[in-house]
Amino acid sequence: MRERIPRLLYIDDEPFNLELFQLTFFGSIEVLIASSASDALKILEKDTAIDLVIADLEMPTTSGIEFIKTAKVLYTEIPFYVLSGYDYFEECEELEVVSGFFQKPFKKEEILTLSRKIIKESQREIIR
Amino acid sequence: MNPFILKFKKISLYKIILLFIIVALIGNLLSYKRSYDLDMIYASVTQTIMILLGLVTLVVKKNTKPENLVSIIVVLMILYGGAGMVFYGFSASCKFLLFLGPLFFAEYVSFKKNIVFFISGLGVYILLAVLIINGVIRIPIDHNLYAGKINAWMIDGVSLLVISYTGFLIKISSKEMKQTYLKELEKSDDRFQQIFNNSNEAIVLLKDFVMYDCNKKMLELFDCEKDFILNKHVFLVGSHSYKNVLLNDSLLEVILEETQHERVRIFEWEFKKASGEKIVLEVSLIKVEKLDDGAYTQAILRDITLRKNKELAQLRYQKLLEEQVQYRTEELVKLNGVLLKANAELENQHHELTNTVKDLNNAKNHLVQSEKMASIGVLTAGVAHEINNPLNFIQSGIYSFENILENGHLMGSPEELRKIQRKVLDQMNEGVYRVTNIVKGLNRFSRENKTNSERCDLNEVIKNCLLILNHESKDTCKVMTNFCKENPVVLANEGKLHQVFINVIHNAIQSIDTKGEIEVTTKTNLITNKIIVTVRDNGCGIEADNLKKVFDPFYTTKRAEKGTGLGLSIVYGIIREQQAEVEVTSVLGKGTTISFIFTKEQKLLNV
Repeated sequence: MRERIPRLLYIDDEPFNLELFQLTFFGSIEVLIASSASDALKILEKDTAIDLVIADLEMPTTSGIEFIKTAKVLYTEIPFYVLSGYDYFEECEELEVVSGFFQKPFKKEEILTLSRKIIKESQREIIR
Repeated sequence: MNPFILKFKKISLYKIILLFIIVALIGNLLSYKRSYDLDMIYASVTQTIMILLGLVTLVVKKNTKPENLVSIIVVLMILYGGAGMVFYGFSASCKFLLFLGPLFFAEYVSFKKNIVFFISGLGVYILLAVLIINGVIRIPIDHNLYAGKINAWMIDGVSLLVISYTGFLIKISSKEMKQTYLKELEKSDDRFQQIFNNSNEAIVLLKDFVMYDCNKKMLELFDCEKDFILNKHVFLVGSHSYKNVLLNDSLLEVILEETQHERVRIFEWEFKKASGEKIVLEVSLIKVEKLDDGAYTQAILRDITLRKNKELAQLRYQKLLEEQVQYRTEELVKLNGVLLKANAELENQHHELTNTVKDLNNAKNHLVQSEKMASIGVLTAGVAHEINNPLNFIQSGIYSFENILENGHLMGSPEELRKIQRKVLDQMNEGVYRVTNIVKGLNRFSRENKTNSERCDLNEVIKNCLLILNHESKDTCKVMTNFCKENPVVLANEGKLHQVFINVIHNAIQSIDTKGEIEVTTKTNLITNKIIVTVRDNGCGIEADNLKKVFDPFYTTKRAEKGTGLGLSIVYGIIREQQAEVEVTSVLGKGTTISFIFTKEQKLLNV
């Protein structure tokens, strides 16, 4: 059977990052974008087929961590990841709500591998 | 009685009696002329001899030892008087007795007896006169011419009485005078004895080293009886009681010998009494001249034991003092040694302190550098984020181009694709630009440059600092800049100026907890040539009490990981170094304003 394309929600306050992220994964990952936490929550509410969420940490109104804490309560099945310019995620490590983290500049392969792994796991669950 | 008066009276009385005798002699000699027979001449001769005898008696009396001579004269007179009475009648003999009797008896009998003798002699004379005049008694010489005349008897009697009783009175008075003189002498002797005995000094008279006489004081001094001392050799007196004397016998002998020639000798003599008491005497020896016979020496002894003891005590005290002075001097020398040692130690310590200060200065410089590094450390995370973000543009741009190469045909028309490519390239450029700026800013901040004469545009410096601090401020602060249009250029060290503004703006950011404003203003005053930079925040502010401490090193209210407490002290140091001024005003809870006043360099005025 052919693998379906992963559906990813990316949240960042920097528009360039959003656009370039989409272009990077064009054809391999379906990227939904949000420039703030509130936008992201709206998208999550509408779209039920999101496989994973990647959020930036530093954002003007609500930080990435706060967003994940809020969202995880509602969407326990979806894994939430962090993508940040910081090279150390002390706060994130302690949080169970965060499934993992990536550092800017991100490596395309890491995110692709992860996305495909998540898809496989979800399909296996469905088969079961 | 005054001896002079005594002498005077004596002389005048002698003169008077001599005058009388001379008158009597002249009268007698004249009587030879009128003598008409041999008997008369005999009578006159008798009278003359008697007068001369009287004269001799008087003269003889003047000598000191007349006893024998007077006795001879008296015997002669009695013999002669007896012969006169046998051969020439009574009258002349009576006259003779009346005349001489009182003179001689005055010498040997009392005044009263003399008067009795005189009255009885006078009675005999008057009786003879009466008997002869009346012819009861007849005398062989010319009775009628002379002896029978009452006038002759009266004249003779009166003249004889006058002469003999003048002499008698002289005798009496001279005897009285002698007695008075003796009394005076006795008194005088007594006075001298009193003086001698009551003298407070012991006085001894030595005759050939033998104790001749001494006074009471001497006996008291030697604690013995007079009999013990007198007639003893001077050495014997002392020998029983002094043994350990300062002055030994031979020395004393020498001194005594010397006294014979030098007259006066004064020396000290330590003497041990019979009681064992030791006394010190001051002996003053003087040769006594014109005293009887032999060589006399007077010694005056004075007990100077007390004085000597005082002197000795004083000497002892002096010695003690000297010892104490010596001791103290030694102590002082010791103390001085200790002080010198202490001084050396102090110098050592001073040296160590100087070294410590040097070390501290080094440490300070090190700390200043450390603070800079610490500031960088605080910033690094943010700066990394600020670099990583634009790097992300570039990285994802590259990924995008790869994807375009692969799946570009799926993305749209070639026209649309070119637009996309253009956009990606712009975004990558933006990333490179941002990274470059950040790195440039970091370089400016951290570069080690010692000169203070770089041209620094304060607006540019502040912009750069804000860029570096962007990630810190962007979440919580609205940063506003209000830059002047003229270029606020100063000659300074750019790196240090960055340090100043990063510190100050970072403080402003940290003072804002959740939401706040920071306003950075630069102003130039063309008249005063001052550039004023103000960093104002509406953060937590500083308590009035702490305001004066903000430039103190290590003063901080931040948590340990947030600050070293050195930031503003370094800012202050740099600002002073750049010859600028800094002022802080703050209201707790309302915010803080920190102002810098730079002077525009003279040579940059037309820039």
